Amino acid sequence: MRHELAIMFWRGLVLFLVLEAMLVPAVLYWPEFREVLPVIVKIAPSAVLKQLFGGLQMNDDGGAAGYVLAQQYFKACNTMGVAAAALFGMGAIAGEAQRGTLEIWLARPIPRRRLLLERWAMGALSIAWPVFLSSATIPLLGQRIGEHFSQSALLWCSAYQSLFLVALYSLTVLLSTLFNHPVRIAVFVLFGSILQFALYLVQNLTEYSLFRLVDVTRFGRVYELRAFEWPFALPLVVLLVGSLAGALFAIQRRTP
Amino acid sequence: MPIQSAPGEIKARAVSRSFGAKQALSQIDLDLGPGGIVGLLGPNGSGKSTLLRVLTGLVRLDQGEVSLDGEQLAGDGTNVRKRCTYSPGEIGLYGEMRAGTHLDWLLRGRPREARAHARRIASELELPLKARVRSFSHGMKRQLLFAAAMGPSVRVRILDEISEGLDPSKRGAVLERMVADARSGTTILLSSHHLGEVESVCQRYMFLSGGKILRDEDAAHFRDRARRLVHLEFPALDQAARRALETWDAALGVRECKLTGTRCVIELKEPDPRPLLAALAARTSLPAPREVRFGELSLAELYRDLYGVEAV
Repeated sequence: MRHELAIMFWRGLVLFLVLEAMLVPAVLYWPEFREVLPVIVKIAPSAVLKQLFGGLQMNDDGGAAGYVLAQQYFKACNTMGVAAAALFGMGAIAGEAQRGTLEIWLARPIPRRRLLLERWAMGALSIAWPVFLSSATIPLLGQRIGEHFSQSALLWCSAYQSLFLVALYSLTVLLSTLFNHPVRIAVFVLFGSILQFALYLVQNLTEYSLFRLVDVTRFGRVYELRAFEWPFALPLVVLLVGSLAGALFAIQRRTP
Repeated sequence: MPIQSAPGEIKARAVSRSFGAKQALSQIDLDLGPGGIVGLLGPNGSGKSTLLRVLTGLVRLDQGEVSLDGEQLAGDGTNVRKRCTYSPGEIGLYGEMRAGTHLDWLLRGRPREARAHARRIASELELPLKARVRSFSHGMKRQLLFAAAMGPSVRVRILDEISEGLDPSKRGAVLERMVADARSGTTILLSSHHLGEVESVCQRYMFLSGGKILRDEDAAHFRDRARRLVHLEFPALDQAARRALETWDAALGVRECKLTGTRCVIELKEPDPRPLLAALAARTSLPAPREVRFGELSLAELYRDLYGVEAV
């Protein structure tokens, strides 16, 4: 367990540093960006991008919250977080099989479901805590540029973002429980995510993209409501619970 | 009625397992222990490792029942693995861990005393517990697995290729510890390709082939049979000579005669070869044997007879 905790900490730390490195310059750039935002909305080449940039101005704070939500969640967490979900999840079981340690991992007198749950939980935490912690620094960074951001609203946004990323991570863990090649699993998940993002940017297909569930509009709503919008959160909960249940079923039948 | 085992026993009934089209185990029955070391022998792919994994619940059964140390194999086999220790044949360890930490990791789910005992064993085997496992040789990794398998106080140990890759002195130390453990009442199921060590420590030999038990022989019975065997090696044998060798007078006390190439192994009813040797000398139609041996049978010879290939 100590081994797993250490892995969780180090992986999470790397993700946190990456997210923070993307967040700090983005927040500090806001005053300059605010000046050009109306022009950007005007010249945006497609309706999807117009909607995306227009969405930044949804609050009555001149767009600061929308801008920060877009930078932290839609841009940083949706790219780096998805990569982390694929990379952390791919080796959960398939990695053990590939390095030849699956047999000793399973040979201990500990129920397989417990082993998998522990591993899943550590991976989920290593994705979630960097999202929460880096988001918690937004109000502090906001003070540097004279903007106020609600800590509790950001907590809700972080929880929603974590739900999305952990759902994707759970799907990767399921694939890792079923198959033996971690790199192929990661490539599959990453390419699937890129495809989904590409769909998001196509005007007529944007509604069919998974990223519709975690775009600026959704985070704006969660920020305003300080609660989940369940019609959008529920599919993520179903994906998470379904993938985890599938992985727990598959691990029982897994041959070392 | 589910199968029942007493403390220290391993029982299996009609155990079968296939991987795709390959039948890895077919209708295996086992009644082992309590106490003693049982050698599991067979060529690669004969089903030894699969059998050991099935007994510990690591591989699911397609069919059959297993009971170990009074516990019926069920679910993912955690209940059975609590009653025994298992050391896998394939070495896959976490190189980044220190040996002592790795021992503790391997023994998670066991009592604290098991970890302390395993560390003592590892120290006696002169393993550097503070070193990272990646710096270990193949033999040292094997010893680490051995220490982990011997640490817990259980009545059944299942060891796959436990002495593979060890130098002679370490092999001796490992076998010595196993023998002492078996003397205290532990049942050890040992899979090995090293016939010499199996012959020296096991009280029973089980030969597997194609997922089936080819022969199950008690070591005492094996030695008793060896005392009644006459081995004849001829330079060449024509058809007439072969026929003559296969038809011995019952009065000579011949139980069975087996001809393989120019080699003839005759099993007698009593450990007295004199009537047979006298008759052999009288049969001038037979060529003079190049070699005559009596009262000997090594496990390697039995292995060769069973599988038709030379063993180490």
